[in-house]
Amino acid sequence: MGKFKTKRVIYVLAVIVFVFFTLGPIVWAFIISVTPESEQLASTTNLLPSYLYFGNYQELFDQTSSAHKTVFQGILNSLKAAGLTILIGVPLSFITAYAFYRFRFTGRRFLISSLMVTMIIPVFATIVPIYAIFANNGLLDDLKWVAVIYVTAFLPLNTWIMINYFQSLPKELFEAAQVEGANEGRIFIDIVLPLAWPIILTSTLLMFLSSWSQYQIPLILTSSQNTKVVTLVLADFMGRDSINYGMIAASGIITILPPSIIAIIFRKYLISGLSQGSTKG
Amino acid sequence: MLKKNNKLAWLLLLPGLIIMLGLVFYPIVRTFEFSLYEYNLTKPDSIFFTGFDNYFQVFNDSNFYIALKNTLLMSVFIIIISFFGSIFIALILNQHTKVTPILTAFAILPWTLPPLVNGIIWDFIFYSGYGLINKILIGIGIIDTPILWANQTWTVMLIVAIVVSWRVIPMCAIILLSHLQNIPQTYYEVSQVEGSGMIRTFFDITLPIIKSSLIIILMQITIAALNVFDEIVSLVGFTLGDQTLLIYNYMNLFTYMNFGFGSAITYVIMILSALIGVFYIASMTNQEEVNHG
Repeated sequence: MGKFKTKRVIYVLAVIVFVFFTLGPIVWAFIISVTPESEQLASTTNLLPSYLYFGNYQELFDQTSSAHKTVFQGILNSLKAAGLTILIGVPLSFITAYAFYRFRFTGRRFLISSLMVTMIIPVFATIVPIYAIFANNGLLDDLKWVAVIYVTAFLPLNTWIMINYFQSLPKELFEAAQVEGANEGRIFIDIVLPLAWPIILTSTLLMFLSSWSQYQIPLILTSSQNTKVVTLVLADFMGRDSINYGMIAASGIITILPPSIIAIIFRKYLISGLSQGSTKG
Repeated sequence: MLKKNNKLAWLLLLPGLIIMLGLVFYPIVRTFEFSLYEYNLTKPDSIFFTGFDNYFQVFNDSNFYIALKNTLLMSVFIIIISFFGSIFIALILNQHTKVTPILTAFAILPWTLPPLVNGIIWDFIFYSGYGLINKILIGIGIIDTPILWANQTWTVMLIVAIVVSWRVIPMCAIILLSHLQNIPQTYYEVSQVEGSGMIRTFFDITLPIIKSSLIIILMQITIAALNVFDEIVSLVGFTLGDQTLLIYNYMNLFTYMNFGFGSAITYVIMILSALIGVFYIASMTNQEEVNHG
């Protein structure tokens, strides 16, 4: 019994360390965001502000303030880029993965490997010629084209998790349909699509989160205030002395709300995507 | 059962192939071409072929070695923290208690957030004045005056490594977890009957089974470490002495607009990471082969 108790104590301690490490930084950023400016950098060891100050949030939600305009324009741009990425990227990954799963043809393995190799290639290996192409064709500073570049960045991983998902489906389904004389189109619509919705959802979520997180690609391909995504807006805030820490913290908290909510609600799909993306059970 | 309908396969692959060829493979080749030229956007009138001159320049640039040293230091920190952190968290999440589902939700949270914002969030913790860490350290009496975290390169790299690990650990822990959960419960029951303790069970049963996924997460961590960029921007900016390879690369490309020299840096970095990457991809596609039978 004593041994059982020690095990429990170790577990509880481990959980506390884990929760503190995982949530601590977010909680601390929130505390900074509700701390009055005069106390933010004060030389005290007090962890909590003397009172809750919501001025930063009020300013962020005040439609006439410049902070509101900048941050919400950034959020809107991030949503736009993410939406376009999903619209192009999910169907594209899906048909690519399906072709690799369903058909055997010369060069199949070579193509899969070439596609996967691009996952580890740094952004800078491709971005200068892309920048040149975009500049010559007037495509710079356009979220549509930023989204296209996102798609090329996310296609390999999403194709990969979809191939793995298809492989987990029972092969008998396809065999039965073929015996019944269904053609490729019918098999795709009647069998594959209805079974595929969990992986389509996972892929949609992954593309949303990855788009929302992007910084390097828009840093290089966009320049005007109208097209700046929210990460760029926040990076600007960090570099400006006129914006106080509380405001940066509050903007940061608002920026991480959408991905946090998605992570908590859809954790099942994200976890399955993660495990499918790297290894199989 | 598996069709050999080549035409339809290529038709389905066509859109993906076009976009990848045009916007990934072609640019990679172009970048190499750029690296063989003296090509500075600030001097548009003097663009000429120089062969491998840019590469010799990279290897003669002291800033390259500073960036390389910083990258290696940061990567070692990231690999150590993330590797053991992932095992620790996977083992916690593998205990099936009432709080496990909510802990799993917490665990994936940092992984879903933008790395740039993560850097900002952690900046409040390692703030050199009365940031959280200094407040705590002063509060419990370990130090009297705030530590200037950004003062030394190795502390800066350690802080970046902690922040990066914060995002990398959840991902790796979940990968490990999916393997842990495939270990048949009977293995543990046998081990319990034999009277093995917690630590013995870990080394005798758990470790050998998850060895292959440990290799996978080790490679994931290494790739993540080599690609760190956003966190450095928000935590340290572009300070010269604290540059890593990618920051050094970015500065030469887009601050000095030196596309030729910058592209050569890109290729040097790629060759360095390819050594790791090829190994990683090979193990991944081999696995696919195995699963295909």
